[in-house]
Amino acid sequence: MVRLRIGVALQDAALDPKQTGRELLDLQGRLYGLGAQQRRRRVEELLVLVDIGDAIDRRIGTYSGGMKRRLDLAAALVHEPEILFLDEPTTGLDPMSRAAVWDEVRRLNEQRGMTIFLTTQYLEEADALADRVGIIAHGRIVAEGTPAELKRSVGSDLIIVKCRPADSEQVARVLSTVQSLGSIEASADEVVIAAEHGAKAISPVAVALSEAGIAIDGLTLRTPTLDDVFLHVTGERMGEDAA
Amino acid sequence: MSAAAPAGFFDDLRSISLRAIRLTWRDPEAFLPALVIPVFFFIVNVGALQRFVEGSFPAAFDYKAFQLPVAVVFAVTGVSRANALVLDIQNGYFDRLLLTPVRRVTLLLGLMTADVVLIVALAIPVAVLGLIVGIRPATGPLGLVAFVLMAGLWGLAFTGFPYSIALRTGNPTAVNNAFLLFFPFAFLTTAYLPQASMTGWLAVATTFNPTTYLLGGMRALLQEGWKWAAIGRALAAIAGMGAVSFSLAFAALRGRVKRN
Repeated sequence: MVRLRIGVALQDAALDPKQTGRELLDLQGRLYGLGAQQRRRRVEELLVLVDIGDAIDRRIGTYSGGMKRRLDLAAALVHEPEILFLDEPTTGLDPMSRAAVWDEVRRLNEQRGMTIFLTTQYLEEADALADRVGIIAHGRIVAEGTPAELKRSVGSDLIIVKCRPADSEQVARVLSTVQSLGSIEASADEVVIAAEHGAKAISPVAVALSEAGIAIDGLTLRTPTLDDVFLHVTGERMGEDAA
Repeated sequence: MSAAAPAGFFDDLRSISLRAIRLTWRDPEAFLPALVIPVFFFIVNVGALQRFVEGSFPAAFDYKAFQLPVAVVFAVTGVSRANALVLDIQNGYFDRLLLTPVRRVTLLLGLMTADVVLIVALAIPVAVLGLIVGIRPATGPLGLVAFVLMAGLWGLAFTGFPYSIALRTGNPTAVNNAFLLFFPFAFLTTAYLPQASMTGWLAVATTFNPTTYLLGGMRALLQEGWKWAAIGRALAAIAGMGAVSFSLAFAALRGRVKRN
């Protein structure tokens, strides 16, 4: 039966505000056929994840958003599913709560061998947690692979030129004449240049801009992130329209 | 390795019922008016009409005993956890329950079980009020128990309507307005006067109203004794009402489960 093998934590915590946290977890255990002893053990184990202390015996309606999200995740784990679906599990969480959820996701995957499907708008979250990443834009998968593979698809290094919005097109035009640069993408106040060897390419970039008389606000070199991959494959910034 | 397995029908029913009963007592504002309003109507109706009605009938006619079933029926009709169900639908908890291997039918039956507990708990104080004001059931203590159970069955039979609305709409306002359904059942009947004293369209309407037969059975227990014909008609009215309302409720549940 599929429902016994999967756990789901939806984007909005699906909880009953009039039950206590402990009652909710216990009821989940009952509905998954766990005996009284197993339920007590699971609730005690999950209390470490939920980490809300004595509040576990208070009504859920009194919990903060972060407490609710963690309890919701715990409710999805009561029956120790083989496959876990997490829909934006850290949206709205404070950094500490987010770190706790990340640790739990890693632990479930590494120690329990649980397969986890996680949707997120935070690409650094996908980078930190996922073995494989699929990027969806307008309802279609537009890129798929390990984080390293996806980053390689953009180029080895990225040079970022910060400039006034009015100058970005001109910056892109000037840099298109520089040898050994890869793709050049101009957006509002920055131009992103892919380069095989960033350390070698940054100097010609600076010289070309200086000779063209363009004043810039910043010039940085970094390795690609999944944000860059997203921008590269969708042509949009995360949250603009694609998701 | 997970030990998860379907819990089984009766375990599911017990789990959902216990949750519903527990939450019922945390929600007193949802059921206390159901106790206050019928007591108020009982006092007002008896105070206003007792002398007039008893004067129009043989000396043995007891208007308080005639009115007590009306008060009990007012107390128990429409009492349900339908608003709590709407809240579950709106906050996503109903979806979470559907993700478990719970038997879908117990999601409704569990709520109805809690309703029966509450309905009987509401009917008892109204019945005790009757004893306090001097009503002595012709069928004795056992008859009083049967009286309360009959009210409980009626209350249960009616719950299908608000649950049906809750599951179809997920809208609390629509559920709250379900009490309007009770109006024709409550007032186009023998709530104030015996059927024999009615004429015209109202007399005809009472003939087709199941509440008339329910009140007839309950009044028989209080005033006449174990009149099996009247009791049988009351039980048949309850069964008919239950068949209609439960059919609507479980059809709505199937629709909701399919949509999710």
